Amino acid sequence: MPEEFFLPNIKFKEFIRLNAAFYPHFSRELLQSCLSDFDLSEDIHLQELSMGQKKKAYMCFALATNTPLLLMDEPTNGLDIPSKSQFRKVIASCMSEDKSIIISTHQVRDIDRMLDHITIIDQSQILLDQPIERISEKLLFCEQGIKEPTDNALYIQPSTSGNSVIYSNTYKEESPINLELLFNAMLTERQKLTDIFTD
Amino acid sequence: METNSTFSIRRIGILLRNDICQNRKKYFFLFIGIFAAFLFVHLGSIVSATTSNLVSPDIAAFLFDSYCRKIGIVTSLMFWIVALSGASDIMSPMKTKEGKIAFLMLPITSLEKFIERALIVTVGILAIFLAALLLAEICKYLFIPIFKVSDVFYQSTLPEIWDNIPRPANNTANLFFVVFSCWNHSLFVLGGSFWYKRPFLKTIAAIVTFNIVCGIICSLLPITDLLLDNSYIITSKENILHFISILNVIFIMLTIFNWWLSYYLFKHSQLKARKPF
Repeated sequence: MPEEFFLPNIKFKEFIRLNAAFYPHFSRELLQSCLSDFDLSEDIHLQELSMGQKKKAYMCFALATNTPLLLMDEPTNGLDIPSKSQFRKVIASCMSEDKSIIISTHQVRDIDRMLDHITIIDQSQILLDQPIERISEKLLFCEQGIKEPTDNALYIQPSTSGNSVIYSNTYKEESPINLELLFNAMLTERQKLTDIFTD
Repeated sequence: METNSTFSIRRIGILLRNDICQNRKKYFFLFIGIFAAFLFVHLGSIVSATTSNLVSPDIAAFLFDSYCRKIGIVTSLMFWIVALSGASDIMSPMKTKEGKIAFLMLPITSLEKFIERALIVTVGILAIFLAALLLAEICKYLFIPIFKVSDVFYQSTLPEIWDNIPRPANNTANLFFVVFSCWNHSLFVLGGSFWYKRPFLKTIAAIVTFNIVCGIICSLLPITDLLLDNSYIITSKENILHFISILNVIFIMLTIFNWWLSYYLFKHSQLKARKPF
């Protein structure tokens, strides 16, 4: 599912009829379920939709194709705040063992609770390629006040409440992964973090 | 779906249906344009042939012949414009970035996509052209009673057009005409596969430039001496036919090469491929 996509000047119903034939595992039920989650119907005309609505309609079709691998490029771009919640709900409901969804995005906060594997790429180089469990196991993410000590921190980034810090997770504590922080850390402290994962 | 290793006529059929449904307005307007042009020429020719019903049969026959000739010329001229501009439109789904993404992402093989486009720009365009020609011919009968023309004008012009189509089976020269036309058509297919935007004009410009360059090179080479040295070719009919047969083979091979190159260009097309023009 590309970020920029072409939708013909026809009704969505017709688009489905014409394109579903290419996908042998296309699921009408899944399509209906996604459409209802996004508050859309098949009777819409594709050229009368806003950018966000087009994206939602296209996303519903992409998910309904039931392909074992689905690549999504910036799926949340152009979606408003309620639509982003709907998107998370739709993706969560479509997840299954026999299906992989690869999401490429800069809007990491939109999807950070849904991921089970993270690959960070910069200038065509893979900086990090690890499952979420392993990142949580190895790194501790926390927010600290400005005066709190940051000894042994792997990476420190000033934030509105003080500092966002990454530590080595020596005591196996649980912390929510801050993807933006992790990305910035990988760019500036790549060697330190790589060493943690190679241990 | 094993789209990388299998070939499916069914998938070509699905894509054809998609293409026709999604571009139905474009094809309809093409049909209407050809139809309107033919009807205009029919009516214009009929108006110019308007005389009293009482003209002698010879004059009426002469006027009808002249009318048929006009229609024949316009038909062949329009056929070439439509066929060549249609051929250069072979990669029209790839004109825009979004269109290119959508077309390249379709889960069918490159060969199937190329065959589908080739069918549209050959069989599809021909079908639209013939349908428009036929409809204009039929509609002409609605207007004839309005004008004062001889009864001979109630005959169809289509037999005349049909008779003037070169039959490859008749002789080698006609075969050469067909082969040469196919080669020309394939040049526009190649142009359309190379330039996605304004392919028709760019292909014409490229052909004109190529001819000018070749003309200059030929003028610098001792071509006249070469022709005089080989003038035995035109001394007998057999030699000429033999020479044309060789040309036929050469142009058939060049046509196949152009189609293959078009497919190669399409198969290796990338989303962000840089082109010199």
